[in-house]
Amino acid sequence: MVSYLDDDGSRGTAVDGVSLSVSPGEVLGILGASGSGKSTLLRAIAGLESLDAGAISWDGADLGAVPVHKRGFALMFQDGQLFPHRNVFDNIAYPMRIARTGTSRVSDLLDLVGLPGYEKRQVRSLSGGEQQRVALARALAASPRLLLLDEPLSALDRELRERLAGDLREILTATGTTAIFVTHDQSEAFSIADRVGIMAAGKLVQVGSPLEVWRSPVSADVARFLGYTAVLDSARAAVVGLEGPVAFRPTGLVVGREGVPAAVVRVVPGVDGNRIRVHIDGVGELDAVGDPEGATHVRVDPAGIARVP
Amino acid sequence: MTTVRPRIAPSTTVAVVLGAGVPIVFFAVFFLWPVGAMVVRGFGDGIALDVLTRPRTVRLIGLTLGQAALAAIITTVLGVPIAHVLYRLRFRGRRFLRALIIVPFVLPTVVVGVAFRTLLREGGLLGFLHLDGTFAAIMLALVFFNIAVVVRTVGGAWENLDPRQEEAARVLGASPARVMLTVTLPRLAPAIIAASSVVFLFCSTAFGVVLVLGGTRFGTIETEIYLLTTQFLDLRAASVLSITQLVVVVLVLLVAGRLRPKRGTERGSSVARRPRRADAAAISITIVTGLLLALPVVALLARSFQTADGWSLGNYIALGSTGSRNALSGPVWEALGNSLVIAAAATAIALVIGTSASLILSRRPRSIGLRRGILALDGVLMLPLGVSAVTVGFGFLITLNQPPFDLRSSPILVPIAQALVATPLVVRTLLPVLSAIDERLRESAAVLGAAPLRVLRDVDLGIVARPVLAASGFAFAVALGEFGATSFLSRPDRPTLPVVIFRLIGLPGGDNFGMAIAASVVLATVTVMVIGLVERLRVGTVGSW
Repeated sequence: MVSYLDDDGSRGTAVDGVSLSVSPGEVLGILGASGSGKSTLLRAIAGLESLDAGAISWDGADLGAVPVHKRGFALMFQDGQLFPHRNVFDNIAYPMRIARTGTSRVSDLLDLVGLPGYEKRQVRSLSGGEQQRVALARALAASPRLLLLDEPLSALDRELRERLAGDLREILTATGTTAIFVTHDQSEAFSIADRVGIMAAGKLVQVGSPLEVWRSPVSADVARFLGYTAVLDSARAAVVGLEGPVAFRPTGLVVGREGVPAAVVRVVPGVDGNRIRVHIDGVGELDAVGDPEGATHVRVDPAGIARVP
Repeated sequence: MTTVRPRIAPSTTVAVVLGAGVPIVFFAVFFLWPVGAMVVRGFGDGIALDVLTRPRTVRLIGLTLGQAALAAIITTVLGVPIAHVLYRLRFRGRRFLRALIIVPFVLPTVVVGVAFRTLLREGGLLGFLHLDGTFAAIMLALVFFNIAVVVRTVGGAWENLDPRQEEAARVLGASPARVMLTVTLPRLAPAIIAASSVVFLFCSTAFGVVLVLGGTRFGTIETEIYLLTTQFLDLRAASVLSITQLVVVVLVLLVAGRLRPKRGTERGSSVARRPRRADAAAISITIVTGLLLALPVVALLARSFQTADGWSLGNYIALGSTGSRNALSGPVWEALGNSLVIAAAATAIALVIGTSASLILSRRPRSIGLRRGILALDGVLMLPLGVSAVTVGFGFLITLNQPPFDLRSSPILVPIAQALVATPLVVRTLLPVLSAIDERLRESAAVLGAAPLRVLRDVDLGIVARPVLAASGFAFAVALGEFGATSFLSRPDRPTLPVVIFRLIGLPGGDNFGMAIAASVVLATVTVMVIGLVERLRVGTVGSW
């Protein structure tokens, strides 16, 4: 268990009033925009940032006086930070050599991350995705009590990111590793984490399982951060027959011939279907999906909306 | 529950203690103290004013500054086009030329002086120009020496310049000349200014070259200090001049430091292109300069094979003797041996000092006070490049004569003096590499379980291993050719090769001059070989100013 309360950052409260705990084997994702303090939080847990107030404890023991290299955590950066002057094997074996546990597991770890046979490769010859995998293997080689990942997939391109996100979750659950990772990408957070915490301006705003958070964002801002494109207050929500306030995704409104009268303003063709802009009297302009051919009304799709307190 | 602790990375603390202690102690004892002792004699009784207003002194100061400024301008004007050709254009043999341009820089000053004498005197290849013993001769030699500094510094910066700004200007309608003037040169300005400042520094403190080529009419502050100390025994006047030189050097360093390009720049991808018609001017300048640079070397080589009996290896064979009229105490080969051993010792010292200094100078602590301290240390460590080697040498003699530092007759004295000159170069080689290390690399190691000392060893020293090799080669070459302080401190029975060469030139007649030439060729060859090996490591040495 890792718990810590009321933590202040050093310069101008990077993180303030965060109270968090992680259970063994759980993957916790911290989601937040740039500057929300999430990286500072992670670094503070690792011991790389000082706490002005608050405590970090593991299994009941306070970690305040424990130096970085004795905490038994592992930290993986957004760009891997592999040692450039060593090859893949030496990078992964590094923590094993420090802990003197023998280096036999290196090949198994390379298999696990999907890079069998890469032992002798030079770091410089690896692609971005390969570097991240090796960095992951190195972090796991430390047999950490807690794995910390700082925006692990942000430096990769989209397709690679999606693939690696799935692999990452599999590896973490297969090895039973307790992990905390931070990211600004909500799909990444939702596909890897067991639980998600949302940070904004240094404060933890909402914690829960991905589905809970998705279904019930705790505020309009959180909803917008999660990809809900519009939030309607009670008055406007009533026009479309809902009790407000309600947050809408584009999929929450489907154009057709029945429902609430609406006028199609603009159609933007997209890869996964058209993004349609409609105008509803008394509400304003909203995004919608569906077939715009001869559409005069919109109806609400419950799967694409969420109630906001 | 509340935990408050200042968080300086432990590896920073260790680096500070290790890094600061060793260089500071070394510099305090072997540089600040001797130089301070020499300098202090220049104060009091209004002697300073008296010395400074002597016509001879005024003339010399003007000459020193004038020649340094002129040399700086010429090398810059020539060096920038050459940098363009060697670093922005792609052609076969480019790498070889880049390595070749560094040869003049590392040649021992005495060798360069001798080479130019050979070239310019009656009967030499350029004897018809009647430039022997003139100001122009000194200028030529200084430009010869220092062109590498400009080419490498500016070229290195130019190579990594993102070309898209220039491309944007071209698309907006600017002609190539306009682009160069309004876009490229301003971007290169820090590198150009840094390079010219360094050239100015080297030229204003030039000793060996001016001593050999200047004759009686020309000198610099440095040669004057030498004369005052060794011939007129006027230590007080010498001290005044030392102070003057120090002031000039500090000013130049301050200016250069302010304008130096940011440390730890990323290595960008090289965007060299094939030569175009528009490059004709730059290419012709490069070719002409290249030929001019080759001339002294060729002249030296040719002359070494000329003896009284025509073309033969006689001069080289004579190196096994002690010269006509017993010029030397032992055969020249012995002096070469001495040089190698002493240079090796100096290199070892310079590496230890330079590496520990680089470790501390590469840290970027969060506190402003510490950062300023590091900047100050950087400046102090560069001083030996500009302080009169003669001052240092004589300072050694007058300060290091009581226990526990009675080193006057110790063989370690010369290596220490050479190490003082070599250390700044080691630092300039290692520092950019160390500064470029991402702090998160050290953090990764720490989180993976490495204690602070281990982080230092595994990350910093691991990354700097190859540059250290290059720096040691560079330091060795420089120590080998060091003349200023060595001429002062080397014991008569254990001379180094540059000292021997100088002695042989000073005693004309018989085989001596021929032997001096042959010895110069040998020294130059060894130096070039060492530098050639260093260049194969492809680490930035000259040019990391």
